[in-house]
Amino acid sequence: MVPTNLTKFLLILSLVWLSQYSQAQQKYTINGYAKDAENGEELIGVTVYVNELKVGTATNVYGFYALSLPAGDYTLIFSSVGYKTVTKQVSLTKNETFNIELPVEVTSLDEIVISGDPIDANVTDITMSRNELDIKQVKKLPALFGEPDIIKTIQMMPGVITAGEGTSSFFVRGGSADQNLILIDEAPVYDPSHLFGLFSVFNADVIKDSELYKGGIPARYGGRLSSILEVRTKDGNNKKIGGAAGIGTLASRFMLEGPIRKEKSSFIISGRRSYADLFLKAAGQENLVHFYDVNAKVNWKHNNNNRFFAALYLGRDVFNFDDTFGFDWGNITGTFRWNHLFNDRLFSNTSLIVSNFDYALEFDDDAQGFNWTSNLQEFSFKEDLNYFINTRNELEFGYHLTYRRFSPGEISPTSEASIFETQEIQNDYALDHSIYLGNEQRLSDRITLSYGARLSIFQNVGKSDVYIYEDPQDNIDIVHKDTLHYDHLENIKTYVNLEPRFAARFMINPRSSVKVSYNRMVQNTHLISSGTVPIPFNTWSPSNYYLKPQLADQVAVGYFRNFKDNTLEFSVESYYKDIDNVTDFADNAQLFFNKDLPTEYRQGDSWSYGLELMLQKKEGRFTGFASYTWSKTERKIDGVNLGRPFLANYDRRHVFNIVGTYDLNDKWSFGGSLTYSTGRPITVPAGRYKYGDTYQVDYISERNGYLLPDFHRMDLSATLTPRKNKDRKWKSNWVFSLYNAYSRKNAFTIYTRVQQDDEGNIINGDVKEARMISLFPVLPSVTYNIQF
Amino acid sequence: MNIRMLIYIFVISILSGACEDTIDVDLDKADPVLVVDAWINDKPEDQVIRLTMSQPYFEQSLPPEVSGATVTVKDNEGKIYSFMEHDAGKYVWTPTAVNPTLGKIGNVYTLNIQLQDGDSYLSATTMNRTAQVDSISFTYEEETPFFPESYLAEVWARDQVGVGDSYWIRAYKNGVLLNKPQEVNLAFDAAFTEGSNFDGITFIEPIRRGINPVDLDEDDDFIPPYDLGDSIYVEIHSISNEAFYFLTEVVIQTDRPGGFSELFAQPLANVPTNIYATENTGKGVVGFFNVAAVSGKGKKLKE
Repeated sequence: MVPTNLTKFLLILSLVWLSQYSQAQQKYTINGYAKDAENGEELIGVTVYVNELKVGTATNVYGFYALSLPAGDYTLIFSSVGYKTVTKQVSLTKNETFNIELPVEVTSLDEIVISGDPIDANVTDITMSRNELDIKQVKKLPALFGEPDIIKTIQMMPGVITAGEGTSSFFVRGGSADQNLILIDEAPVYDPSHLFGLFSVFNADVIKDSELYKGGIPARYGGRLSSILEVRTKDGNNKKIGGAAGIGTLASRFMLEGPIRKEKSSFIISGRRSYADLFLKAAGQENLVHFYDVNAKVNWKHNNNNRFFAALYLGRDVFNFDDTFGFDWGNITGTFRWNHLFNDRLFSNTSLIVSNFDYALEFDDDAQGFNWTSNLQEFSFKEDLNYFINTRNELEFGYHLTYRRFSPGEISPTSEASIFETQEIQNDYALDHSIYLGNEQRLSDRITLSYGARLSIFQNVGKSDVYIYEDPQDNIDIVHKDTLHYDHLENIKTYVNLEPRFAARFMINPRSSVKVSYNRMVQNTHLISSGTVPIPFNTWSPSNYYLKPQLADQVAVGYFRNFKDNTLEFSVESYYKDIDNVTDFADNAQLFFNKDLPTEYRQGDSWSYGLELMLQKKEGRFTGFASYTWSKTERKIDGVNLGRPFLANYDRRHVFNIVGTYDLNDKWSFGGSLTYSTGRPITVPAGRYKYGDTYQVDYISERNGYLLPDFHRMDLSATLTPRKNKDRKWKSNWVFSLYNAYSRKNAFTIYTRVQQDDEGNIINGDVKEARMISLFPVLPSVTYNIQF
Repeated sequence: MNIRMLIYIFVISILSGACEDTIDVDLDKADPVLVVDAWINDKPEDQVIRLTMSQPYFEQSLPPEVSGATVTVKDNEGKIYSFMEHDAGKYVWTPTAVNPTLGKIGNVYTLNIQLQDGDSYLSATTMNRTAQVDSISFTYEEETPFFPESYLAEVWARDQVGVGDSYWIRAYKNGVLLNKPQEVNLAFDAAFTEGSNFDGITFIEPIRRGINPVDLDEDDDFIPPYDLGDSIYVEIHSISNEAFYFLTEVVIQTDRPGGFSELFAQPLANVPTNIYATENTGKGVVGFFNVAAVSGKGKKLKE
């Protein structure tokens, strides 16, 4: 079935090109890289516009563009937000290469900036349901403990929901937290949290660019259902040595970058470490907690046709209590990339990627000491190609191969006398092949289409033993009927899925457009967690003999409009998403160290719909955005909540956010954010009963039947840049933050207990009370940053 | 080791700034459901089954009893034991000279409850073999920074050979059952959980020592579990694996740490039941039916 459809699809696609080739006349190609004039960083998404033909393109994620034009004289206009527009006259008689450098736009506060860009991405770009993050703005915004965090800004975007403050999880268009593919330099990060989610692993000093796809996801991405968060780090200044450092309330960071060989190769290295533990140690505290991050990258631009990059991230959280027990977790990712030009129009990116996530728990005790470790590794080979066919067609296609190894848990005793024996839950292995093909086609000045598909072939392979259960849904009286043995790399189960992707843009006029998109996504890695927020001690499992792949279909439609010479961008989008086989777990599931985990799996349906509004101002003294989201997400799963539909535990009906920064003068700038959302649902008992004379047992009538109170919070910040900076090599600034400015007590969660007084003594064993936990009162912080 | 405990400790140490308040929660009224407390055994004494209804969550009231029901237990040999209502909601079977005890190891027992309003409920379980209490010992422990000088009791018993035996070890100190959630002592084979490969051996130490009361004085210091002159009686009840799971969940639910860890905790769900409505299948019912074989031994702590 599937292969036939694919063949048909490919056939039609090739016919489309052939018909265009037949009419082609003598054409030449202009290509090259767009770079920041100051530090040589490649720039992503720079629009390249041919004034005479009213056509254009944009640089790809590696900063490369190519245009195929008939011979003639042209005016090329290169533009990007935050950079001066550069115009180039070209007389095209042969293939040409133009590497262009864009100077940074220094917004002098006296002059009124009118960008008047001929092209504006918000309206004209085919992509919808996508948000870019301006890292410069993130740094000016108020931050918890003064640590700028892109995830906190992502949580303010339309269509994105949070579980509450103090977590790095986010929920995109009705998808759970594990349905987000989070990439740093193309390598997946399985747990992006520090300190259980107070901060994310992304150090703002090294981030060059980040974007979030919520819908209309291009065919080159796959593997998760709901979103792609792509974070790209800087390549390092290839013109001169530079750096930055910051001292914050909780952590300090430094960054150094510079050329190895000028204009040819460069490096960047950066580190961050929290230091609360150092103070605690000095104060004689035994409980020690810290985290750190290291980012490093080198690149070598051999020539225009061959460029090499190697990037490394490693980060870890370490907790120690009284020397008796501790735990730690962390990610390591590595990426090696080779950008190669096969010819003027065929751009290739070859990547080798590794990612490792692991955690460990250690309890040091003679009788009950144990050491518990769990980890997973991913190795990928990716070949991505961009073929700039002509000004009307831009093709992307590629092949991704991924091998994953999941090691859910191993326990070993820490002493001879320990009651624990060495035990291991067996590993899982998976092979994942994907091929994809997508074309962006400009049908006319008004209509652009993007269509393609991704074919995912996922295999759960040995070595493994698969238990056959008498009843796979019976998690209490577990009976193994049979055991199937599989050898190393022997196929256990194969899942083949075709993921069609489609998007279209229709220009109503130069200032407004309508866009529609459809995408199907497949997810073959499942997070084994039933809590609202994933914790680092969660394991992942591949689709296997019992777990089926999760499938999501999403349609979205949007209206995009710019005002005031493109300085104000407005959009309204609506979506409907349907998920099959969403992974959930049985009531009271035992998810830790359970060799019969398959009996806990419950898969079912999830559906979500919503409306999102966004108004954004990217240039001028005041920049920022306001977003509003109305959405609803439900699930219906056999064996959960008696098979009745229930609200997802991250569902919020209304979410409203405002984020803004204002440059008062060259000394002071201010930032602020305001968030308001209706409460998320939790499960509270509806009744209780007394059992065995002493036990007060809760009786639950409905999952997620109670809404927490509304959430709202305002944060403020001020950045002071001393005037004497101008003449100094070392530039410094101070960032003052006020988190939760009016000290709102927001409900983090509500739980119930037997009535107790302030000391925890039980007042009346027969009376229950509800307790609301709120995390952060007003929290001031100061960060001092230097740059050189 | 409970993962939620770890996180709880983390929370206390990091987020001491977090705050907690008692609040009013306006809950939807749920229909009350039948609560069946049917734990019977082969001890030669009155066997009791209690029927009550669940109560609104925040209300302080006595559990409403369910009167006028017909309660019988039938075994696979056709023998019927009738439970008569002595007090409201309390149904009792009294041993006779012909039937001095209820139950035989290996037999299947069916509980039948017929309510006055016509609803009826059914449950079936097997009486499993139990482990024999071999002996009880006391060891003297020196004072430590956390624990006073004391005598700790230890029960010696061996798990039956063959995987899949569940036991509830119930200890009585001076005739009083140790019944706090933290004092519930369950064994799956000779250890804590299924699949731990501790089969047919002596119970592991934490289970052997799980018969010591956990009591704190006013200053939150531990009280020595046993003193000279105290007596202890230990029973090992055989329970079904479903009952093991039921009791585990009851303990988890009555002993929730609360706080920040609730966000990472599994969603609240009803503890499982092995009782089913036969007449009106939409009717909710909670509780459990188990028929236990019991072994027991006592000891007095002397110089």
